[in-house]
Amino acid sequence: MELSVAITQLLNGIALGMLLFLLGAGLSLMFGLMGIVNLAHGSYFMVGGYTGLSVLEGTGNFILAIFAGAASGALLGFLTERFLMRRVYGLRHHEPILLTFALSLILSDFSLYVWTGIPRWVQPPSFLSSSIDMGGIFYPAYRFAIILAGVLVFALLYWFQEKTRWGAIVRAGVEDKEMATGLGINIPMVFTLVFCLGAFIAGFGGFVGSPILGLHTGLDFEVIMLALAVVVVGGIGSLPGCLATCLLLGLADTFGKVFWQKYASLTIYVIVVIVLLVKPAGLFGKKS
Amino acid sequence: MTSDKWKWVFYAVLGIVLVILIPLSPRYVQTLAISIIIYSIYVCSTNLLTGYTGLVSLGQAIFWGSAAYLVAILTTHGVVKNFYLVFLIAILSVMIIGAAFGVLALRAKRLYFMILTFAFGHVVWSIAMYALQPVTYGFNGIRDILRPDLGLSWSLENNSNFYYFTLAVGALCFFIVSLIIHSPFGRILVGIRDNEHRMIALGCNTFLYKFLSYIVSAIIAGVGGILFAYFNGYVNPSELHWVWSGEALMMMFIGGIGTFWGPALGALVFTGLRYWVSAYTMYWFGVEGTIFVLVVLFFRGGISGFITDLPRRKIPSKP
Repeated sequence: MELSVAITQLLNGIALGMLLFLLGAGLSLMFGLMGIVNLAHGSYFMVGGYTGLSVLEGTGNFILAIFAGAASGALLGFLTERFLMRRVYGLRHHEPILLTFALSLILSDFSLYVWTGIPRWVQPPSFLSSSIDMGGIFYPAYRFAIILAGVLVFALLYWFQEKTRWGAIVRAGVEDKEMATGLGINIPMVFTLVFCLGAFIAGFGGFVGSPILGLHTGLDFEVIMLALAVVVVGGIGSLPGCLATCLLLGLADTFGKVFWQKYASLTIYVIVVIVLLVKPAGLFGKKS
Repeated sequence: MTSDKWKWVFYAVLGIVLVILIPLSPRYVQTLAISIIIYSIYVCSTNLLTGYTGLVSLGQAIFWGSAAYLVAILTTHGVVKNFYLVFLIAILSVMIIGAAFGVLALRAKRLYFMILTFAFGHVVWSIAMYALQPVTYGFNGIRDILRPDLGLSWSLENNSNFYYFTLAVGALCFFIVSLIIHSPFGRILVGIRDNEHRMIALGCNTFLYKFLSYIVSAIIAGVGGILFAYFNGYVNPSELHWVWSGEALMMMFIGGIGTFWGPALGALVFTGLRYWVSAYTMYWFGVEGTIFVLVVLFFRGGISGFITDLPRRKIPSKP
């Protein structure tokens, strides 16, 4: 492989990894805190993307569209937690899963109804539509922006989790819910917050990623598989671990497509299976 | 004794409807009944694994779809024509796939088990979709699967004959599951579902029992898949998709999880509703999801739970 191709693919892999991070960070946090697998998380991503698209078409403002996408995700996350999940915590673990599965089916048809099934591509804003010249290698500026956005979200999340009072409360909840409740922390409130935050980031990622991934029917079911892969490979409880996993999976998928095109869609899942069998708690997981 | 009496009334009515009334009904009723029975078999296999053993799997479609694909590939490519041989090959293959995935997946617990089955499901789906495209025709699926020839003078091209055939296979599957859940083996599965640590403390090799339950459930799902391929005449990758595994869980839950008739009730409601709703709207997923949310929020025992709770609800009798 030529060096220029290798560098381009490397950057593609990192950009994909950052999108995976936007998708998986929230899911990982929910899994760690509430012990639920939210199968509707991919739907927040897709609905966020579509909402952003509508706002972009309506106003022409890309930044506003990003916020609209993220806000629609957060709203869905809030509704899910407040009106559905809250009723099934502490039940057998298949009830929350199936409830979120049902929700993902509803949102899938909802998107089909509102935005029809025609595949859509979002154009990057004009100030990011050019390519950047790196000594003869041209690389789209928009993908650089995605990498930058991923790093920024990671930094903000890390700061939130490690340095703020709310972050400390979330960490306490992940560690020991009963003790945190005993110390007077309003755990249901924390659950809602984490749901909103996770869905906010997913909605954000959905729109930011739409110029690369496109928007089409079934996108939700495709990305939820990637998000689950992130959660199980990375393990729960470590944000830097989550980012590292996302980059690993993004690179593996990208280079998989280069080297064994026919089996490329399997690359990530082969990693998932191997990691779960060898290290069930995940590569960076603190507990099983 | 009254509950026993009602039980026999139920069986008698069920028998009359299934054996006499449906074959006399118009063709579309028969077709609907055939799909209900086939889906019942599939949901029944899920129920054995999830309802009785407590293992939530999102990979049940692997076995349904693999069996269906094997039938499709073997018959349309003219490799094997004999129905009994096709059946045997499909079942053995599903058993081997089940054993391989079971050994691996059961090393993980609870949600990790579910995600692992999910990953396996995706691997198998990708293989059918991309890797084996020359054989499976990828997204387009395999068409023109002919009805099986049993080697009898009794042709399955005839719809009501095919209905009787499906009914017989379905009854056999339900009978086998009934034997399993009432046997000591089945009681151990329920014990594992309710408290695995206690079963381990009692000296039970829970891995072995879960493994056997996984394989039996795979085989039953495979039987459903075989019938489906012959009935539908067309197989595509959505039969292997994890959403179809999720729908099995939903049907089981709607019917009543961990109850004997739950899968049949769930499949009946699911298929009937889909038939009825499809006449009005293309958004079946939305309707299905909404109904399921309502069931989880308000009728947690599903239809079976609702029916068995009826006598206990204090309905004031007329003075």
